[in-house]
Order: sequence, then structure tokens, then C-alpha cells
Amino acid sequence: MELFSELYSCYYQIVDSILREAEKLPVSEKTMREECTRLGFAESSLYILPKLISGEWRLLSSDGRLHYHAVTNAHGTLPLTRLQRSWLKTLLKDQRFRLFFSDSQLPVLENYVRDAEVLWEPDDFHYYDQYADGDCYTAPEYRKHFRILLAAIPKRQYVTISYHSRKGHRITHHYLPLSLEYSSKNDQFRLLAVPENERHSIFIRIINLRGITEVKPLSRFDKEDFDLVSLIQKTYYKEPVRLLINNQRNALERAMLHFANYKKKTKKIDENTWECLIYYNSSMETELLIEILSFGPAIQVTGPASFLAQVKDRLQKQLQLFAQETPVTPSHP
Amino acid sequence: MSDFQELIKSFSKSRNYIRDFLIYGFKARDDFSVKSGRTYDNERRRIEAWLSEYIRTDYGPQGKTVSLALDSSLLDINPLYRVWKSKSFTANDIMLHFFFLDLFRNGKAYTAEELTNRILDDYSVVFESQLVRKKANEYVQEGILTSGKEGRKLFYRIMPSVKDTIPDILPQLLNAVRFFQLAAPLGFIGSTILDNQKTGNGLFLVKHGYYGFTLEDEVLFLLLKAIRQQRLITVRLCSSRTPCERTVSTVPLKIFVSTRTGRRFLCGYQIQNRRFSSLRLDHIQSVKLQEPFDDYLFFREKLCQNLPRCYGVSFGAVHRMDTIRLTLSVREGSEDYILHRLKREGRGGTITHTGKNTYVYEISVFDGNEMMPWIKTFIGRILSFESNNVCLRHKFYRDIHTMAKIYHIQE
Repeated sequence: MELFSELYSCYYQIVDSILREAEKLPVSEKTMREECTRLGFAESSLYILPKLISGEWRLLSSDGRLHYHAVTNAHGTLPLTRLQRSWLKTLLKDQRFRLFFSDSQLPVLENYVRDAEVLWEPDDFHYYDQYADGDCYTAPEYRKHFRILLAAIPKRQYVTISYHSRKGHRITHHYLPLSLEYSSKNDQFRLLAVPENERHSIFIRIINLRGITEVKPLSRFDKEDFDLVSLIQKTYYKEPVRLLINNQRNALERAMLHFANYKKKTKKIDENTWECLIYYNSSMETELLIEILSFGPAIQVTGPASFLAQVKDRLQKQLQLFAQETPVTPSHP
Repeated sequence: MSDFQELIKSFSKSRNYIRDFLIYGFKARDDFSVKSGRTYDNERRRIEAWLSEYIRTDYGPQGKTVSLALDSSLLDINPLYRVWKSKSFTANDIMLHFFFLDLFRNGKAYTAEELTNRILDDYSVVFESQLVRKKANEYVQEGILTSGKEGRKLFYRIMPSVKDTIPDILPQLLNAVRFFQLAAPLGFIGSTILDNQKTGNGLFLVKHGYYGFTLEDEVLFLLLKAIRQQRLITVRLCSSRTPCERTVSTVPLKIFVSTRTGRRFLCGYQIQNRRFSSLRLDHIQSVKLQEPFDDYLFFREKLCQNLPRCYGVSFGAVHRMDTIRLTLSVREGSEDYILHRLKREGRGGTITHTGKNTYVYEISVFDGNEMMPWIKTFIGRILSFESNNVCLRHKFYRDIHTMAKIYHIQE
């Protein structure tokens, strides 16, 4: 079992797709190039097409009019490899995996992967900084809500959701569910949705699945095009957070790893200083603020003004507390 | 075109370049001094080809810099999985692959000789039967074909496709794969299942997704194999801070994962210095599995006993526990979310209500230094920070006063 194998190569996928077309009707070079663009890397067509057309890979034959037939008749789909079945078998032990299946479906899957080996056991991993209050994936109501939403999202079906907000208010509303978002740090799912009566608003509602008390599918479906990514991008502030990173205590590498999940831009200012721009929206703001504070003096916020004011405000409060309390060891070495 | 290829035989060389583009993104050609400029040019071109949509080029005082712009919260498939789909192959490999899929579709069994003859008859391609047998045996190893003897002849047969085997639960299975290809270890394998079924995701997104982790998946795959087989291993290490390579023998026990930074570590027992230690996966260049280790379960149990005192991945430099006592100002009722933070992020520390709007968090850990970033997230409400480790105390107060200076706040 190899992880890095040609069986998963995108070139195999491209050729698979071209052959499938060419088994039905002769295909042109243009069609083949389009498949390369759709499924391949930037220069894949420069490599694949000459091999197919010249006959070095004897998988196509020319009809003499610049169209090509497949030499195969109707090749089958590749069965899942042992590696793929092993990965699935391993996941069977993950509580979250069971969210997707009814109890009667799991034995069918267990039988399908019976000859595969497990790649790891759940306790081979230790997520040492994961929050202790993750979602309860085995709760029957939670599983039920999860599966209703999972079915509604691809159908673009409206649902009625009753939930408790963070402030403890009970809210019931009709929503168009857009996506389920998982955070491994929080170990919880959140629903991204728009209220039916604010269908064209750019504000996405984020609802914790654990707070949902009821979900009911409605018989209404959304018909308009919807681009969730563009919608999320619209929520980003125009001005990114500007940071100066002083490379003390290996702060540069730590910061680059820590903020790797944000869209960012970094440039060197001088021998020991880098400027990093981080793009964010209001839902990320507090988290980003405390993440930056965790770096202490190694990172200095230089803008935008509103973000900088928050940093200064927290520091001001901190110094006031020190002044009131007389800290245990305020002396400096 | 010269001899440039998009596909590669081994991934190890490209891995470090991608990491530098992804994690740093500000290094120019001259900063990649370990290899020649030509190697850099080839690697850059290859990575640009693999990940063209995500490549950003900038020009600064130090020259052209190439970076990868990934906003993980907007991506439903890790684009870096594409780098695992770049394994090179021969003309024979790809031809036999599709000939097998075509010939076996009728469900029949063939010997290697019969396959060789059918390939000649149906596709007019001559192969030696030895070569066909070798490929068929490879596919048996990969679980694509099965083999069985009838008399003295060895027959090959294809495994049924997933769609033919479990059609009723395939939609649910694909939904699970859509999620786990983002959230589970070795998620790349999940993305190949989606490729196999010619589908994408469209259902799930991740918050706090650190996509660079996949670059260590080959290392992780071997480490997990060693853990399952309870073997001793030898790893070759190299990092940006200590660029000289060194080799370490260790008993691999667990993989430690940070959900806040995506960093992954191998936690093992190092026989040479008789202690547990953690090695960053992105520093591991190669892994070699050695003989099974007899006392494996004893040390794994020992590690589990130690975990509650391990705040992060460090087991401390000295045989003394660091005790931390953090006193916080929390307005009761209106700021209970701070108490929730302490409970869910405090990793077993105790929380005591000591007075009106005052709470004390206490914990004893191997290496208190690992707690310092988290403690600084409470800036603005820390009444006092105490520790038996004088260095930590000094460091904390010094950091706060340095920050005050940086931001020109009057003390």
C-alpha cells in the first residue's frame, strides 16, 4: 500500500475521462485539451496529448480526420484500493463517522471493508489543545438534526430551525442551509445559513449544531445561483490586520504556522523584522486578537486603527489591574 | 520544454519547497541556498504547475517571491492534495492499467498468459507475460485484483467497484468522505475516493484548517504503521533552526496534534536518553522501520500516565513540575464566558472562586513555558501570575511591560 502512487495520479484521471468519452464517440484534440485543463495541472496537456496522439500510450487510434477512438470498449471504474478501504475502516471507529449512517447501514459498510487493515486507532492521536466541551456526536437528537441538514444543503431546501443563541435566547426561523462548518479546535459543527426573509443579505448566520433544538424541512427550495465563497469573502474587512513580527524566540516561524489558516501576505522589512497582513472578518476578530496577544511583544499590531485600539485597551486595563493589585513579582531581571 | 516534468518519482524534495512557499511566502530565489538556483527554478515551476490557482508572485527589494495564498475557511478540498497526485509512471503502467479495467469488466478471471494474449488481440499491443503478471500481482497487493489458484493455474479477477458492492449506502458514504477528507488524518486518501467517484465536496468547510499538514502525510503514514506494529524506528531530522541532519532512534508511541497551529509531533520514547520526547513531523525527513520493540505496551502505558501533566508536547528539561497560579478578574454574570474558556481550554487545571469577581486557575505541568502564550490571551484581566519557576514569572511581567512600551502606554 503506497500513499504516493500513480493510481491516484491526476494524469490517470485525465486519461480515464478522455477514454470514457472516446469509447462513445471520437474525440478531438480540443476536447482532450479541455479535459487536461479541467482535471490536470497547468502544463499537463503539453505532456499527455503528445503521448496519446503519437501512440506512445497506445490507448487511442486515429480516424484519419484528427479525431480519436478509444482502443478500449467500456473500461470499468477502478475498485477502491486496499488503502482507500483501510482508511474507511479506520474511520468506522470515529464517533463522527456514525453521524452519516443509520445503525442498520453500518454493518453493510463494515462488511465491505472487512479484509482491510486499520491504519490507526483513535487513541494513537492526542489532540492536546482541543477544547474539552466538544459536540456530543452520539446524542440521538444531534444525529437527527445533522442528517436533516445534510440532506437539505445539496437540495437547497429551506428548513425551520429552533435554537438557543449564545445569549440563551430561543430563536425559531426559516433558513436556507448553506454549509456545515467543522472546527477541530472547538470539536464542533456549525451551520452556515441565511434566513429566508434575508435571502439576499450578505450576512451569514452561524448556528452551533449543539444549540439546535429542532429542525424541520420545508417544502420550499431555493432556485437562484448561490456562491457561498463570494458571500463569505464579501464579509471580510477591506483593511487587513497589519503586524510587525520581531523574530525573537523563533516568533517568525511560530507566527507563520499559527496564522497559516488565514489568508495572509508577508514581507521582510529588515534583518529581524517582517510585516504580515492578515485578512479577516468580524466573526474572526476576537479570536485573532487574542491569538496575536498570545505572542506578547514579538508581534506588534500597527493597524487598522480599530484593531489597534482593542489591543491598547486590553493592555491599558492590564496595567491598571497591576497598579491596583501590586503584582507578586513586578521586578525585572 | 527541456527535461522538465510535472510528475515526480519521490516527493521529499518538493515537500520543503512547498512548505516554504506556503508557510513563509516571502523567500526569494537567493534565500533557497541549500540547493542550486536551477533546482529552485525547476521546483518553483513544478509547484506553480500543480497549484497555479493559488500561486501569488510579488516583487520586493530581495527580488521575486512566490507564495501560496490559501484561505482554508473558503476551501472545501485541500488544494495541497494535488501534490500527492503527481507520481510519475511508465507508458506500460498506464496502458496496462486501462487494459485491465477494460478486460476485467465482464467479471471473468484470467491468467497472466490469457491477459497477455487478450491485450495483443484486442489492442494490438505486445507485452511479455512476465510484465503483465508483475503488474497483476502489484494490483493484487493494492487490493484492486484478487488472485486464486485453479489447479496449477493462477487466475486474476477484479474486485467489484464500490458502486456495485454497496449501492444503497454509497451516497451516505460519500458524504462521510466529503467531511473526513478535510477533518481526518491522511485526508488525501478521502480525496482520492471522491476522485474515484468523480465528485467533489460542496457540503463541508473547516474553520481552523491547517492545510500544510498534508505535506507530512507520507511520514505520518509510516509512523502510524510503526505504531500499529509496535516497532522501533530511526528518523532523520532536519529543521530550519538546526539545518545539520541528525538521526534519532525512538519508540513511536503517539502522534500529538495541535488544533490551533496544525503542528503535529511524534511522541516517542528515546532509548538513548531514557525519556519521552516529541519530534515535529515537519522536521522528520525520513522514517525507517526497525525491529519490533518488546516493552512497547509498558512505555505506551507510562506515556498515558504522564499525559495529564503534559500541557503541550514538552516533558520538561528538569525533574521538577512547574506550578502556575493565575488570578483573574471576571465580572460574575456578565463575563461568564471567561470561566467557560478556562474550563474548556484549561486542560485539567482547577478553577476556584476566591472573592467577588475573582477566580484563580491553578495547574502543575512538566513545562510551564508552554502555557505562556495561552496565559497572555487573558491580558486585560490578569490580577497576578505566580509560579515556582522564577524565570516564567520574570518573563511574564517583562513581556507585559515591553508590550506597554511598544504601544506607548503609560504605566
